Amino acid sequence: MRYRLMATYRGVPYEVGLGPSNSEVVLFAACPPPEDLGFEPATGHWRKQVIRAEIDGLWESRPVGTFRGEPCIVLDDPGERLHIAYLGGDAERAVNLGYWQVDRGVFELLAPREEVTGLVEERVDKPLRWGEQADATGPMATYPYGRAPWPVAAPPVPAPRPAPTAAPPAEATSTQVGPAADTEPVDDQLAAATLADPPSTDARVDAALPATSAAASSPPTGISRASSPPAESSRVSGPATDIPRPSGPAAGIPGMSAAPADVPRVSNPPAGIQRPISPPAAIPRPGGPAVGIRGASAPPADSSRINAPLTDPSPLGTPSENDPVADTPLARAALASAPLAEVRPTAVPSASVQRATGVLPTALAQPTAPTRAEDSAQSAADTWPAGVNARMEPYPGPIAAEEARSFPAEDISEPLPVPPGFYDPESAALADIAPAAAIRPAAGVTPAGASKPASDNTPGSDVTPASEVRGRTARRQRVPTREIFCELADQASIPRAAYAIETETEGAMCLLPTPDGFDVFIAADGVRRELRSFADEEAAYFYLFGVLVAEAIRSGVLAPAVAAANPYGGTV
Amino acid sequence: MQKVIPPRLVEPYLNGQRSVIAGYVYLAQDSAFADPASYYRALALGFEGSDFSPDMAEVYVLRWLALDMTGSLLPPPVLDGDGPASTVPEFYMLPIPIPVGTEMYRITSGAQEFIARYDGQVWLRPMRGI
Repeated sequence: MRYRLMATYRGVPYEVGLGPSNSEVVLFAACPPPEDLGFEPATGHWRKQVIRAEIDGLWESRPVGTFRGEPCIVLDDPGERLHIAYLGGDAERAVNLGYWQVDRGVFELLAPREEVTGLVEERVDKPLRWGEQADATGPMATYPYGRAPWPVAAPPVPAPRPAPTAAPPAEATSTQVGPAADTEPVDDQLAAATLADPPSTDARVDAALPATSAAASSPPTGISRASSPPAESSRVSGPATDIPRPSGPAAGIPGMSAAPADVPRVSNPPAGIQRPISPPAAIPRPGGPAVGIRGASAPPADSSRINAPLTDPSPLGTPSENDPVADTPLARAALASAPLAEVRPTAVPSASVQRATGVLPTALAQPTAPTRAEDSAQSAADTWPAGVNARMEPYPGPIAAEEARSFPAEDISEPLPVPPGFYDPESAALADIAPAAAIRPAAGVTPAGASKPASDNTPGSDVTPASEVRGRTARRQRVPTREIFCELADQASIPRAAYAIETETEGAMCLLPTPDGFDVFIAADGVRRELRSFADEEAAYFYLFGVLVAEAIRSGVLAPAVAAANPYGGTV
Repeated sequence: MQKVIPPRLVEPYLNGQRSVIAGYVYLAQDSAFADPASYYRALALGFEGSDFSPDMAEVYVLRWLALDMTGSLLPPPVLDGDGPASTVPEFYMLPIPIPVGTEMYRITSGAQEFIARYDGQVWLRPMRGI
């Protein structure tokens, strides 16, 4: 029994460590977990680095009790005695109780086990989404004196510095601006929007409610965690709000800035009114187990924005508007893949996914703002590809090693198996060249996305001359990459709210045209993270696609078979 | 963040006996001093019962990227008012598990030496090849 952090990963609880950045979580296991989980051996334990997006729950396990009438926490359980720390607020009293002052204001003791009474293991849930404020009453859960000395939002500093100073972050390295002050307007705005909107989906309701009810049901008094929202509900809300983009440079957000941010937070609404930071909850990330999946299968009703990518007239506007056929969804679908095969053979979807997940993020890393040389941001940025790679490269073994080697060495022109839901560009190319009779077999082989348009497009034109087909092909190449992307993303069940095209949406992966090309980044808390710049439109779109698919695969949305095979999954 | 470790706690940290950080912590940028004596003066290390001394030759610090600490920052216990006062903003933290990646440095006059890095379970020292 000791004080520690825990997290649930694929349904299994692990002891974890947090850091170095706020979005990073390291899972620890005393015994080797199944190889396919990709744990690595380390000194005396097995470990696996993940990001908060990948875990389903994060909590402190706090064994608290009473020692000689005063509250204490069990730091460690080294043997017949318990290493406890004084949780009260009176130094003199602590000394009188027999505690040692091991450091200024820190009172600890190795206490006979039987002297520590009323031991209970508190579970204090921590927010999954980095940057999210902890439960407003979190720290008071164990506050021993009934009523907290002051609301959590109050500065815990005896001599607080003047608030502003933009909440200097921990190390000089993390120079992001104090998040609280900067992001709150946005959050509040979003929150208001969320609350004002009719609850259009269950997901939204689920996501929004726990936040508010948590605030309502947890007075800042020393009420035990039992009064906090049930684990299940926080689980649901957690992942939903969880926009923990793989990259979260802890630097900026909560980190140290959170500490001084306590100063700005004084001006916040009273502690009882927890900002429902859940607005992003309406944005189901593929990583969010519950809501994310729901989002994937049933896009939120609040679709005005979400449908934008498909319905907006494309500013990239290529002649698709001139071509009546291209405006029909079916035609679009049919056209979608043609350029892939003909213009850019390297853009075979499956290949690009692998390359994007395995290589792109690092290969394209640029010294742009979010990834500037600072350690924190850098390491955070590295997390994304690393995490993906962890999935791609199972724990070292003969087979795994081969697989790992095969990724970089892969010949991208080599035909790859087409996963269900993907349109096979090669078949499409054949279909274009071959007479109608040949189209049928091709359509039969290709998945739904391809066969549907093929059959619908050819009802009366079974004998379309090849020349005419070629003419249509020429038009197909002009279909905006954006539409290709949207089509593919839909086929891959990527929640539409997970990305934003030509607009910047908080919590989403955004692609924006710039004077020099295209930027792809994660919009989080008003900051562009993981920014990548591309001169080439297709490269930008398929990088975006790769990242999204990687996350979907990671979260299991795209790989149910893998999840089912996971021995830990049991009842997936 | 930065925390100065009382000399007698250095070993318990490194050998794994102590797995929490608690007490007064500071922003690293506020508390980067050139020599142990400056630490002593600025961070009020001469508190009653302290095993720091104004002429100590070295001081050990922990440095870590601040995580979300809203759950662990608290008003400090009431101390008698005649102790020394810190000259930089200080934060009082309930015990938190040592964050992964926390680094320990040894500060001597005009120099600092990297001692070890916490991997979440154990401290890794340079000679072991971090």
